Amino acid sequence: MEISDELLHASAEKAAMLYLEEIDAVYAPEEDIKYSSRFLRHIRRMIRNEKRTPGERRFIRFVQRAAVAVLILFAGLFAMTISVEAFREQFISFITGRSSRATDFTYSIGNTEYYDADLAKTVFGYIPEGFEKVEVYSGRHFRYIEYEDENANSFTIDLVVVTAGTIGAISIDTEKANVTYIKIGGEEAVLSEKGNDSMLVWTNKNILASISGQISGDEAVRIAENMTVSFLKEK
Amino acid sequence: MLFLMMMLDSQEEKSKFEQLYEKYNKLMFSVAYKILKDTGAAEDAVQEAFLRIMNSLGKINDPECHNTKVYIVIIIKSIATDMYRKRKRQAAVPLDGDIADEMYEDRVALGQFRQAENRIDMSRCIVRLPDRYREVILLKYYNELSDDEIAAAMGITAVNVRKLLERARKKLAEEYKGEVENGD
Repeated sequence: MEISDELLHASAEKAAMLYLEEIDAVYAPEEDIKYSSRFLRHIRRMIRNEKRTPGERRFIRFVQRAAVAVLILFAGLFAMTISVEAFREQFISFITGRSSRATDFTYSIGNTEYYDADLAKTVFGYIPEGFEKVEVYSGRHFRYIEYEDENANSFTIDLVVVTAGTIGAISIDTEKANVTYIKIGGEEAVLSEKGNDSMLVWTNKNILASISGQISGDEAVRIAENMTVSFLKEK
Repeated sequence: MLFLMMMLDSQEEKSKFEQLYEKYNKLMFSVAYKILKDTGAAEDAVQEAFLRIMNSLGKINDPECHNTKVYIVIIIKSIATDMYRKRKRQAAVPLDGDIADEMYEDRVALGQFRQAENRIDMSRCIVRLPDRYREVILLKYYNELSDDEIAAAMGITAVNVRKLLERARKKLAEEYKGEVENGD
């Protein structure tokens, strides 16, 4: 027998009603479902992000991509070396690309001398009131910490130890953003602010650090200025 | 009147995504939990489903309509079933029972009351098809989605959507023929 498209179209609505009837009978939900705080946090974040304007969403994507880029390049480019003179100059930052939408920064050191650090012992002397640590990912040379307040505003702190022959890269959304170049602990820093979101990127010796999320630029700078990295002996 | 206006305001302020979450989160969790039998995994499935929904919000006109409910249920069922199969493949010890068997038993129980109506009906033949077949038919002919859109909803390729549709139609023809021969 030929099952035509017309026959399927004509039968589909009733089939859908029967299907939903079955779904309601088999999968009747309970009224008092208790979700985990992790699940609710993720959903709140999705709802909040969905409400953002396209420009704001793009900023967030940049921020997320930037954090990933640091880790990917850190893990992948062990063969790269760049020669420089003294340590202070060895850890350099230079612009690798600038478009109307973004500015890309690459950080690297040239020889085998660098400072190692125990990122787990990093002390945060200032965290804005109401924010609590909700997630931490860490490895030998990186640490990602996420903070969130009760209104689901969140920001992350990313720390990466750029070691000899590796490279850290970060892309900052500079389109229609207020970008300022400042100093944190005497070293170069870039602060990009757009709406309620900020992204601060700076270096501390050979640590590449960033703070990004729903906090003001002033707060981000204050966190950075009050952060103490536990450096180990020089390699 | 003031109360009504406040309600309208708050409803308008809610995004479509938020409305979908409020209306369907419990049903989605229930579907996922029934398949996965694990709270954390069910939450992961619901979260994954909302990510998929977020990418196709433009296809949803009215969060309240049957069309949307069918679409959302099929998405969460596809995700939870895929997760179940992956977990089963990875488990050193087989998971309890088999989800396909359990779901089939539920459907048989429901089907018995349907068959009591004793009529030849293409709609009923569609609903009696195996899950993947009936769901691809519904997305194609009820929700009127393109093959690419169905692929995104079910987490498969467009090529597999076409293969699935072909097999579903073949199975449907057998079902319908069987009903006619049995004189239902």
